[in-house]
Amino acid sequence: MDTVLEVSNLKTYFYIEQGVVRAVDGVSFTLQAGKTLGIVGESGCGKSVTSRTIMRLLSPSLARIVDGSIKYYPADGPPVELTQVDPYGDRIRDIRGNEIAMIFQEPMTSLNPVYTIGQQIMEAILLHQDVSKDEARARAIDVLRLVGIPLPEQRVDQYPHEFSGGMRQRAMIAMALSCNPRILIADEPTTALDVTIEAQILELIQQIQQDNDMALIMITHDLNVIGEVADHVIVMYLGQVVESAPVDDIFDQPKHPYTQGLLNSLPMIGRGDRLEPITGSVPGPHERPRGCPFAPRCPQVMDRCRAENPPSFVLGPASDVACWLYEEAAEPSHDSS
Amino acid sequence: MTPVEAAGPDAILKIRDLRLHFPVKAGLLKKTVGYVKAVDGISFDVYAGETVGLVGESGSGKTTIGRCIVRLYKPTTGSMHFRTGAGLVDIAQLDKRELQPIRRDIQMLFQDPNSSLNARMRVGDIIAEPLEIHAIGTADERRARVEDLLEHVGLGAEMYNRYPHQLSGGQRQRVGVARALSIEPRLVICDEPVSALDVSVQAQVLNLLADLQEELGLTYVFIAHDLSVVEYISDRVMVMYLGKLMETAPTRKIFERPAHPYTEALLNSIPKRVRGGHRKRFVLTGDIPSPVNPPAGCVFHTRCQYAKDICKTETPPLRTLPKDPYTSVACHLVDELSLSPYYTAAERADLEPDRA
Repeated sequence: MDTVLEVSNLKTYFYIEQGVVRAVDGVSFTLQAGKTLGIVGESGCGKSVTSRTIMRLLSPSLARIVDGSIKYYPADGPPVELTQVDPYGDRIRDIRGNEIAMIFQEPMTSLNPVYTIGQQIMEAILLHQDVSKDEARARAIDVLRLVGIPLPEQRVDQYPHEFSGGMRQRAMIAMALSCNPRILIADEPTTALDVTIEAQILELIQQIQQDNDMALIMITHDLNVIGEVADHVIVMYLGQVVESAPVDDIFDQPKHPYTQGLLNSLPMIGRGDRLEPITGSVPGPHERPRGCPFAPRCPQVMDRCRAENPPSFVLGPASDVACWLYEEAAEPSHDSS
Repeated sequence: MTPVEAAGPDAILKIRDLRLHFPVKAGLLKKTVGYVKAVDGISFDVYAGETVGLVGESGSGKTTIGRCIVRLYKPTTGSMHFRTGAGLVDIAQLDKRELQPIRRDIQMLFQDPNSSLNARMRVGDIIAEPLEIHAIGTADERRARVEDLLEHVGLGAEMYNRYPHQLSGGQRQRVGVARALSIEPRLVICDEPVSALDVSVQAQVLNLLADLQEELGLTYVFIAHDLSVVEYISDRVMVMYLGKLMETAPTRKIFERPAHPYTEALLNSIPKRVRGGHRKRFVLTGDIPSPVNPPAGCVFHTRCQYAKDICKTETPPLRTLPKDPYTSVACHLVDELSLSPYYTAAERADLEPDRA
């Protein structure tokens, strides 16, 4: 299988007046062409900062990549170390929006209200591809048709406010797909939408993924969406990956107490049992606990958890868990094998 | 007239043919050029102690119904009989003064705990405000009651002097719950109360609502777009589309044997896991039509895969099924269709062998 992106031990810290916020604190994963990686976690877990770091969208004066690497493997040519490129330079501009594209959560705020939908899609095409304005416009109409917008020849000249919520999200997807990206990062793409529209959007993304062998990173707090689309899942909590496993293992044999807690908190149709919520709530960015970040809310907490942050233990070829409960069951780490 | 379920003696709210049409004004003279039919002829009963889930896409009118019941909106026509100590009272057209005593009995829990709490007021004062408005107790009694409520919703009396910004999202929604319950209402309209919360906190608030219901004998009308949340909390579900009721049935029945094509479409839109790969989704095409110009006949016919000619011309009434007195459906084809549930028995057995 073709690896298209390899993130290892990534750390992105924010340096603000109140102190250092360790938003992403040691995240690793591998992304394969044609496959879907689900990143799941509650607010403040660092899932969105991870994706913005990959895209190099964060201002270097505020957010610093203090450690780790993001290796992007282009279709041809040597791998690119994205942590080392100039965030305002030409190299990242070639990649961003072209080879790695992103769909944001809020289609209302991420579309520019004073430009037509067509102008916004054409901007991406003209920036990345050597085509005339007419060709770019034709391509914009094509992608609008591809995402199922009716009458694309007319819609292309309309403004975002003339689109419904579901159509705006389709337009965002059209923009992201306009350059046939190899990697699509979807950050809560369906959170603000009705279930019927959500189903349309997920169907659309997966259809395009299959047709183009595109790799997909699906970032969401919704485990039901993860269960439906992901091949592999990483569960994040306070900037760290607490568990990484194939999707069926995450649901059938969750290992980390936080993953187990999330699943027990989730209403599932037909299950009927009383929900067992995780106690407490996610601590604020400046109240980060010592030791394991989940220790204060963990039902199986031990003394050691409050003192030492567990490393990632390898449980299988594609399964890791960062929890002291699994120290003895662990295999030697992937790196040394 | 729309036939409805026989109103038992314990119905605390009987709604008949409720309509709320907002005028659409245009032009220099603000002439009314049309109406948004947000709620368009809805009848149902709410029984004491139950939770009725209200579901549908945005624009279906579910929030508008909730706001009519608490009388934030005045319905255009129709009746809403609420059971008080003095028998059934139609609250649909009461004025502000006449509503005052009724408001003690019907409270609302809002979606967004960030914008529904006054940022300049302390938590204790927020919860005490309804008590002051209704002139209940002395200042000391009110304080004791608020501290008691804070304990009850799992916040602790020490939160009394905090401000909303010092609390997490889940804690703020607990304050919202305490405020709604402070004057001991009998009916609580919950409008998307957990949709702004993280999964783990959402479960805490859902359990809190369930516990308080059991303890205090509350009745809930629970409005939500998340069907798995509705399934968890509701005894009965009402499915709405473009201001009309499409189907109402006991929760289990809705999910296992949907009777309306729109219910089927909603259920099949919910993401679900199928072992070993990805399923083929059943996708409802298009958006919900505009409520200014709803389609003729059955309002759902433009998106319904089963629609026949009769659906385009005649509006199907909401009928109780002869073989199932707890299920009412507004569909011409109800006897002909065999609709798919959320999970088939085989899929369920494959996912959870120990449960099948």
